[in-house]
Amino acid sequence: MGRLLWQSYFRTALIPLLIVELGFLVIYWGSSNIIYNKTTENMSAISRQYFIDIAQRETATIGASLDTIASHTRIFARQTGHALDGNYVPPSAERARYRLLPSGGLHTAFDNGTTASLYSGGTNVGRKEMEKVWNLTALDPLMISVKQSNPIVASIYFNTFDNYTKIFPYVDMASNFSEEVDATSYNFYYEADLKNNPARRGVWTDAYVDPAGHGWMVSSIAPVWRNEKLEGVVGIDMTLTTIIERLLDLDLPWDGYAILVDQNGVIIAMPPAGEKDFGLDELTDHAYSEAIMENISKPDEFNVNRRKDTLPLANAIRQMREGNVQLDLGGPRLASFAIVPQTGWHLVIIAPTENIYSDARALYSQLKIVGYFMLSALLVFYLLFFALLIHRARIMTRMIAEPMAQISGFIEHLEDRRADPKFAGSKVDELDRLGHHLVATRLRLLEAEEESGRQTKIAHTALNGLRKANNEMTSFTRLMSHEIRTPLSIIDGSAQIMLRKAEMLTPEDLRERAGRLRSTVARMTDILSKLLNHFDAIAADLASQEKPLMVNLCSEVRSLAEAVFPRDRLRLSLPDSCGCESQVAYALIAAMREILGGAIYNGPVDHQVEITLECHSGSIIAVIAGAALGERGAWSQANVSEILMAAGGSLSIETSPGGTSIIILVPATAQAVS
Amino acid sequence: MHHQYRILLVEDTPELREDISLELQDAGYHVFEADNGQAALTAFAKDIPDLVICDILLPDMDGLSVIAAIRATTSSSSNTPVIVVSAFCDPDLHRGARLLGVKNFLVKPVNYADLLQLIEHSLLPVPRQIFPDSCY
Repeated sequence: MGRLLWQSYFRTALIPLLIVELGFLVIYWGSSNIIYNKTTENMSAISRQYFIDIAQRETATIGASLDTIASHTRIFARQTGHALDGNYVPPSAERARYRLLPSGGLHTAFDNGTTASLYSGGTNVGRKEMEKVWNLTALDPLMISVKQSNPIVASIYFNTFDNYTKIFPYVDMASNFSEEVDATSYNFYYEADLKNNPARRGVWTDAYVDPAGHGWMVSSIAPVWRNEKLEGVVGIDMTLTTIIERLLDLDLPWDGYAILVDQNGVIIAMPPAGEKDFGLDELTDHAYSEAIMENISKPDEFNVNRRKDTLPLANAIRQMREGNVQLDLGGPRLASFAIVPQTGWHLVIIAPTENIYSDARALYSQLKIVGYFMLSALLVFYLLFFALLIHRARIMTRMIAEPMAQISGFIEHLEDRRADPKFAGSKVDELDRLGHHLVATRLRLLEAEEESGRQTKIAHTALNGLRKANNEMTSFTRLMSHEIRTPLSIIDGSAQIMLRKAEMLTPEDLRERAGRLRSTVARMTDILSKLLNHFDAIAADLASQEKPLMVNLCSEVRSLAEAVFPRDRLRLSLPDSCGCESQVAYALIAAMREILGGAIYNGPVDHQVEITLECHSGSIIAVIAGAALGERGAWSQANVSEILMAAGGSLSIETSPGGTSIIILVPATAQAVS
Repeated sequence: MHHQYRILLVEDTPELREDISLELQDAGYHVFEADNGQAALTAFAKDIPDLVICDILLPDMDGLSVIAAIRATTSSSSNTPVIVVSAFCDPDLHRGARLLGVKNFLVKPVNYADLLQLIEHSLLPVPRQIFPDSCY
């Protein structure tokens, strides 16, 4: 029963509930994953676009600075051309600064707050060269103005094809540079010559470490053509320190940082966070002074084209002006880049992917924690719920199983009269009604069984009575047959004798036989009369059973005996104060009439009859002594027995040496006999 | 005329006993009579008959008891053929009679010609059997 209830609970309540709850949980986990994935995608897209935007913004800023410098360079180149075409003679004080070198060159001997000049010792300085020098001094105000108005300008200079150099701010060039130096062999010159710059435009050199000690530099250079002759190349050195500092100061989210890569893939600027990712320290200015002298910018470790871990970036840079790429720099990194169109540099913003997705991951972790909490709460709830249901199932089992067991016991012993099954009732109305209904049914069954037994007994008694009556009727009929066949035999026998011996019979014989025939006919008539009397007595008996007749037996017996039997041969022994009464007195009177009639008919002429009547509380006994039944005794006995038994009485015959006594017994009150 | 057989007639009704005796005597049989059972047994023991004709209802005992007493004797007379002539035709009586070796049972009233013919057959070495149908 408990298992059945538990299964019922499980099927109807728990499983659907569990499915719904688990369904919600699955939906929650699924939605969390979707949210996480979508958030991650969005964060990725946002971060990519955001970094690109930053890169574009910063490259635009750098580009603006470069444009400014490039513009100044173009102006400076034009003004240089104009100066070469002029006829300017500087003041004497200016001219006094120029001294000849022992090697034959020319230089400014001291700084007066303006430019420094150097004619290489390899050039033979003549009048023409001196005119060029004096004309170019006209550029000093411009050069000073450009430098002072642009902090990022490290120096502004002009190098001629014949190795004259003019530069601001002042540098003791004779001391710092070789008198035989050939400026045209440097990149800030030849990159603007006809071969490398056929368009004759201003160009930017590669980044390099300034030999004058200004750190990382880049030069904006422009050729000065005069009558299709390259007179020289002007240049403005721009220090990258400011740009680098700006990049290093960028406040980027997700611990991101920016690096600047030139058109050759060399990393120009890199913050400490980048050094850690790239596994190297940024080269300091002084460490590369020698490298710069060799015209080498940076080693291969600083070139994204030559590093294995930055090849995806190098490839992307070659193919796109801006974009994103994933790198593995000791961990996944997102690299977003944009080009600086003026120089072909790329600003690359790098951030750990993990940091980018940290918020999404944190959200996902929180969602997972919430999910775990929900799952735990669900498990705890179901544990408690299961425990409650088990408890309820047990209670329900007791509420149902115990009454069911009692009901089962009732059904088993429904017809067992010896058993005494109990039903204590049930809190379940249906079972309570069923149990009490069974109790009532059992009582009715037992009563019905008892009644059935009683009816069976009555029916059995009635059947026995019927069978007995049938037997008596059969016996009576046979007796009647015998009683009639005997006189018929006499008649038939006489008739056969008469037929066979008619001629031999005398008249006396015939009279004798005629008398015999008449006597026999009279006997048969008597039999028929008694037979009718018998049926009348039975009819009277049936009538008396419907309406009992109370008579005084003593007076009735006396009257009957004295009417039927001669008084001189009759002795009556009746109670003096006769109180004998019976509802079936007719049966006793009829029986006595039959017996006394038989005694008169069959008995000897002088024989005596004594009648004794005894009245008891329940029965009346009449004894007729000396009343032999004679040759017709069997019929008479059956006849009398029939009458008496119908009235609930009996007939018996006792024979002793003193003679035969017929004993009649009838009940004092009527007894129902079928 | 055949050998004069002796027949014991046991009948309590005087008129019938007289008529049957007359018929048997006229038929050439020697008849000696008894009107009750005890007298019949006495006569049977005194002079064993060739055949017994016996009624059933007798004043002192029934005919079957008389036949049983005859069958109970140790001599060869116990096999004496018996014809029962009775006003009773109770099947139980027929069955009782058969058990006692009675071959013929006639129900009154009796056709004397039939009785004489039956007596002749009963005296044969292999007598035939005659029992009435069931009746009252």
